[in-house]
Amino acid sequence: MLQQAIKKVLLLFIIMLLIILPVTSVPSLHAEASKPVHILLLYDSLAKGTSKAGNVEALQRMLATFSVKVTLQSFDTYQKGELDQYSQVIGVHNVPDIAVSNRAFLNDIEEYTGSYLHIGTNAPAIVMNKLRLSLNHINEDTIRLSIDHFSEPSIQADSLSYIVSHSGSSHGLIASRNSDRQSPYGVVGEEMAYVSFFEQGNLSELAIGYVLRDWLGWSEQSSTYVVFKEIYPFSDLIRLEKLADELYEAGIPFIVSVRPVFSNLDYPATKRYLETLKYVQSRNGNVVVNVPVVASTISQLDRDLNKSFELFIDAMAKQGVAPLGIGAEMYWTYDQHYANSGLGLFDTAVLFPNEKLMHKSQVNSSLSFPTSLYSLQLRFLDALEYKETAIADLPMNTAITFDFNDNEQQLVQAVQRLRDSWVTFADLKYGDHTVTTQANTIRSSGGSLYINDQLIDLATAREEVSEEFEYKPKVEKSFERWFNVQNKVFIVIILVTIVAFGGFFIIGHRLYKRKYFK
Amino acid sequence: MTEKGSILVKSKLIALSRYVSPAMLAALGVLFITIIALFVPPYIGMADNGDYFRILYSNGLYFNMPNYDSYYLGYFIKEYGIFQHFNENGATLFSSQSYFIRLSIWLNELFYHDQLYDIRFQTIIFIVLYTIAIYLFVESLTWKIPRKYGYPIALIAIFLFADTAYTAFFNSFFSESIVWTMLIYVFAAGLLLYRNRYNDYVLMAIFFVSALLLTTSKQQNAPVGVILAVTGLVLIFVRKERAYRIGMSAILVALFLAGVGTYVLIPKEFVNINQYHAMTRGVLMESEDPEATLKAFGIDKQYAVLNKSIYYEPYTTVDVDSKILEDHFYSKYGFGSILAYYITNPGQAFKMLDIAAKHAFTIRPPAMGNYEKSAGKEFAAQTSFFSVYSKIKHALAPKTFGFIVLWVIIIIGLYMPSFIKAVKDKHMRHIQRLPLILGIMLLGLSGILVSIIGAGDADLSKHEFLFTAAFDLVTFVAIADAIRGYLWRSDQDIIVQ
Repeated sequence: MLQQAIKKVLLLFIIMLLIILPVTSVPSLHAEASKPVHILLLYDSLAKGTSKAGNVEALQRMLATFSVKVTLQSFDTYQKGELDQYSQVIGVHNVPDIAVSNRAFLNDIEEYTGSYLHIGTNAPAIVMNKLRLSLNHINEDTIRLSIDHFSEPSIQADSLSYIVSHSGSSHGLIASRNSDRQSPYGVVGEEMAYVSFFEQGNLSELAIGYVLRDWLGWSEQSSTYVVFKEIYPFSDLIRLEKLADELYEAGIPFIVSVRPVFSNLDYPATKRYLETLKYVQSRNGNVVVNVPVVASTISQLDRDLNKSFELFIDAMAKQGVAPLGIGAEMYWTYDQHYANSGLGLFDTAVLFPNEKLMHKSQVNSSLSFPTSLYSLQLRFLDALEYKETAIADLPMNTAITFDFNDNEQQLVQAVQRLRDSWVTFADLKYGDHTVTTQANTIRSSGGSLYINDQLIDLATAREEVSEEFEYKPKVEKSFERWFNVQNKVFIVIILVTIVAFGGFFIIGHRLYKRKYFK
Repeated sequence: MTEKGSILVKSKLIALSRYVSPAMLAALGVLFITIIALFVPPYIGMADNGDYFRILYSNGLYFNMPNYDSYYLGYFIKEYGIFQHFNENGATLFSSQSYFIRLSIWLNELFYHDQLYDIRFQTIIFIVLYTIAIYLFVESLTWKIPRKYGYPIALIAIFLFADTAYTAFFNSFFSESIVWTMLIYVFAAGLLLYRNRYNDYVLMAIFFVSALLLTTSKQQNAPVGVILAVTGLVLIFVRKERAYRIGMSAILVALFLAGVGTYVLIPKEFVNINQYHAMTRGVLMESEDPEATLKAFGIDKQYAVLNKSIYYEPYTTVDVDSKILEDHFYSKYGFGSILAYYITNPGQAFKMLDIAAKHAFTIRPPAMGNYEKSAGKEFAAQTSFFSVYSKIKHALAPKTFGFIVLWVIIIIGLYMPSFIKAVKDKHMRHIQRLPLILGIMLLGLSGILVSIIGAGDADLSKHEFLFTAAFDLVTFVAIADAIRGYLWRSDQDIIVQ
């Protein structure tokens, strides 16, 4: 009896355990998965006005692609003990003549037990030692840089350290064009990593991706996408549809980063815009919402960006368009205001290079996205030597970006190039992406799009947008009939008065004449 | 009033008039109140709405206040930095305002500091000019008239001209300060010519210089030169001397050209903001079918999404200065085509005029604060010191375009008899009074029209300053003429009698 009772209790216990376990363990797993790696990015100078200008920003953007949360800080503002808060730290040294003088950092780095990647000159002793680095510093050289299937034959490099010997795995190759000097582009050891040369705008911008992937231990498969941006409600929508048709026929999936509309969402013009996007969506196009333009004028207007985004997304969803992410200049992710209002609705981002910083509340820590695409212009690749299919094998998720601008000829040529190439571009909706507003949850998975878990039929016929629209609400008129009658009465009275007056005038005139001209 | 009392008042007035004429009383009264308002703490001035940047930087000044941005629209700032190095912001603006700023910088460097600029050096220039302007203006109305009429007119003048809604502009970099002062000079010079007070050549010079500064003070004032050139035609015939007639003709031609020049020389970047509003907050806004309206201008109907949007929106679909708008939107319309549109769509035009009239009686723009931050007032707080007139006007004026039309008709009607009489008498000096008043009224109306055509309903109360100023001056002249009894008849008639 007792044994049976114990068995029953045990069984019950096991059943309860089985029920409870998944409930409790799943969220914790999720929590674990959604917490991004947090990296401290230190730099000595942004090197404005030199060839290194923009490299820190490019690095920030590249790091975002690996879903890393970054805190950006200069060596000068570093305070004691900060290194210990991070398991991974990157140091960028752009100015070779001036060594880091911050004592707190110099002390802390010697004790640091986490993983450290140094880029540029003046590598700390600990990096040199642990990587058993031996460097040969050259002030000026013309180099050939190659990595994976890419190479750039001629890069003018100011202050460059050739890695003579090292431990750990190496990436890429730097070869001097003036001598027989050669060096790996970067090396990654167990704890330390080193890259000697990093600039924006040449192959090193891509090469750092290979090093970072290895250093961060990033194992996810990366894909290359085609993105068209600068798409407005008043762009040539017919041309956009034509473009979608051409790409569809060529079997190239693509992404359009479309400008949001925050007012007049019920206008036929907005509806036509959304209908076009729906059509694009049916032609293997994926839609991401581009961030709005931040006005440079002083404004007293307090607008809720989050709400504006939601309104636009909901309008899209209502029309059967399923946006899957956001397209933004990178600086948006380093802004508390934008992170809190707007960006939070998305888990996928296409990050474009900064063009004009328009911060609302700048912070030095970034918002990271589970999926983030590194935007790259085709003309950047034009300067490189590469096998075409290599584009599909980049170390990070990449967005080959085109402006859907007025230069139709240019776009036609670019599309022709895509069509002629053998590159397999990825289709965004095959990944898991979610956009959540209060009213709608839009997601993609395995090539299908869902709005509130309802599968969208991509082949639905387009709806004609009616031109009939009441732009101005009719003012309700009260007593309209009464006033009409009144008007008529007055008109009659006035006419009668005029006639009477005229009559009196004539009579008066005749009396006057008779009196004086007798 | 008892006989004794009236004798007492009379004797006091006689005693007063020996030392202080009504014109002098008005000028001193305004000067006194304005000095209290602008030079005694808490100083009254105007906050920057973002317009200062160009005029300041192009004249060698810069914002030296840390976090200047947080003062926008909220607080008046009186100190700025003077560029010590080469100023790369060359004169981007064609405006007579620059001369006043340059002069004040020179004074500032002479008496105060060569790195710090105090806006009050500019204020001093304006106050001096303003006091003289008021003296001349009131003199044109009170010269040689009984004291019992002269002093009440002077008191009304103080009530109107010392209003801080007007004088606060002197403590700012807004060109309204020039518009206001110069408009008074133009009007005063015309009226003094009509009354044959002072030397005609001196008055001619004052008329020319002030009209020129007024026309070129602001792009929006381009029509001023043209209107004054046309309504001023009578002035040519005031005297018979060849030299005078040639001189006056040359002046009018010059004003006409200055008007055209001001219009042509408007810097492009400045136009965008207004051009944007002209369509989105004007033509489209009151249209029953914005898409059809756009088609009429040859613009893609999809631009209807911009209907009612404003340039100042913090988040917008498109950069208002972008190439796409430049190529497909701004390039399709201009001042002329919008004017033509309104002429062919009078219903819409009247709706816009009515909207404009709602703001046409506001002197002090509601958006900008009057105090320095150190005064401890809340953000964008506005003063109520000596602002009874502007407040009454803002609250009580019937704000419809019909009222404005009625006002124009009444004023013309009041001055018509004297005009007809003068024409019959071929008395050129007297003939010119009505065209002059008409000219000033047209300037005001041009202010309204230019605002609507040029920028829709955006910033109306600031754009319509010219109207509100013209309205006050003309109404003041009419009231003064009514008090002294010269509404129906020309002045000299009485002297002849």
